[in-house]
Amino acid sequence: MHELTAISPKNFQKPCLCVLALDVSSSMAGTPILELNSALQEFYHSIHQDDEAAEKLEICLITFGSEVKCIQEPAKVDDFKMPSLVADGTTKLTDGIKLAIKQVELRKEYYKKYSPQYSRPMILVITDGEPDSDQDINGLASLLKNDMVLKKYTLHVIGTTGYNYSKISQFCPKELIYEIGLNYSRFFKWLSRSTDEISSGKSLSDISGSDFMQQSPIN
Amino acid sequence: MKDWSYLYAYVQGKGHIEENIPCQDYCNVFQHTNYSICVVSDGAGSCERSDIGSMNATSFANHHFSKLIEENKWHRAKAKIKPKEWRKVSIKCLKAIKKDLEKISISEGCTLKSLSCTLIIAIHFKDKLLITHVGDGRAGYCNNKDEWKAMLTPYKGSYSNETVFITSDIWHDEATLNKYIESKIITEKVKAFCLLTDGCENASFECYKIDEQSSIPVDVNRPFKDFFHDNVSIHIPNLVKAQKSQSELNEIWETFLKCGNDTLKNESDDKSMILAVKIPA
Repeated sequence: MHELTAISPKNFQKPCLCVLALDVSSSMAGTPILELNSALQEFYHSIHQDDEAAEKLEICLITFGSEVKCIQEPAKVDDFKMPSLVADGTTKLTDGIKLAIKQVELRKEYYKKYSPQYSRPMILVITDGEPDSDQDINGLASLLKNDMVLKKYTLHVIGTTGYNYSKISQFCPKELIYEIGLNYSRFFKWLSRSTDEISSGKSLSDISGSDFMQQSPIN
Repeated sequence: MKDWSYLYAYVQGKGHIEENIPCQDYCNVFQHTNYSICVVSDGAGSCERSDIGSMNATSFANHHFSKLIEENKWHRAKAKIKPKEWRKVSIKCLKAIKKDLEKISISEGCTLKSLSCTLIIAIHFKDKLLITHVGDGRAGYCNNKDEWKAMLTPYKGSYSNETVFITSDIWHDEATLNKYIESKIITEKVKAFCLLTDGCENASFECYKIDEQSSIPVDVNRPFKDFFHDNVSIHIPNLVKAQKSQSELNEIWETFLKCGNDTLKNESDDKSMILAVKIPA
């Protein structure tokens, strides 16, 4: 047994931003939106019960249907209640991602002003469809390509039953697209314990417990 | 150094134990006549040969800095060293260490980048401490008033775990060197000092305190007195009085770094620390 003793200080965790860009188009109506709402509540409570995650994780919620909205500015779980989402309208998916990127940029400016270090922000896009035909896919593809090189954030598209892999892969690198079927609950449970690894840039398939996600398109 | 004890060890973090990754930290204390060279190095987690890098960089640091001291006769009593002079020669030595690592990369058949590691070097004389570093390690000392102070500022990139390494491309111009290389001379009377890799910072330093204005943590970079005080004032002098050998002291220190308290036990990163303590007569 060692003969030394030590008391450690309370050091706070470095902030880590998680932006969830969520599809609320009408195709999500019924079981998918119910499953998504339930999974979001579970996610919220898991983070709330994990002192370390609750201290560092800031969650931002973007929804995209016919309109794109930031329904929750970046905040820790102690400072907001998880809202319930309603499905309606079309799929302004690329506008939703662009708003998520804007939120990341704004928050990074804030971090840089005060904090010496922060974890790389992560954007997770969850969709069961494809962008509206008038959405600027090429512009987004070019923006993402550039931002990925600069490691501005990590971004993954999580496709649920019905999503259009070939359309999504026109703007998002294929290795960043995952399929989860209707496993919303399992996905968010996994997410609540994997934010550090996602932020580090690790491939989702290399993170423990991700075997329910596939990188191939839904047939 | 007469009247001083050095405890030093490097241990695998919890994450590396679980993933069966070798400890990428390394440290050593080289005791010479009238001075000691203390070196701590943290191999980059993302670089596959960084354990080789940190081990070799530590040994090269002793080689180049001891040569520098002997050539300049700085180990002689009352030798004067000016801060500007120390900065200039420390950069020269750090560059030489990088060159030596390049040779290792050739002999090992790997890239220089794969050997990436940080480096803190403290040269301990009777009346002063010379310190230089590259990377995100921390170091502090305790003066005769029992005040603990930081003696370097870690370089942290924006994102967690981002820093510069001895192998990084930072050696070309003065502006870049000023940004990444820090060299200092401590002339206060010192009764203890520590050098550590970032795996030990949460346990032993106040690093991230909540800023009231922004509600997000800021780095105060202050050695935590309660972590060190009893060890420096009571426990380590008692171990020395009990005539523990250097290897026994290091074994005790290794156990302490592994599981001395919950913060140390739960740390996922590798941990390495040198603690030097003046033993009262």
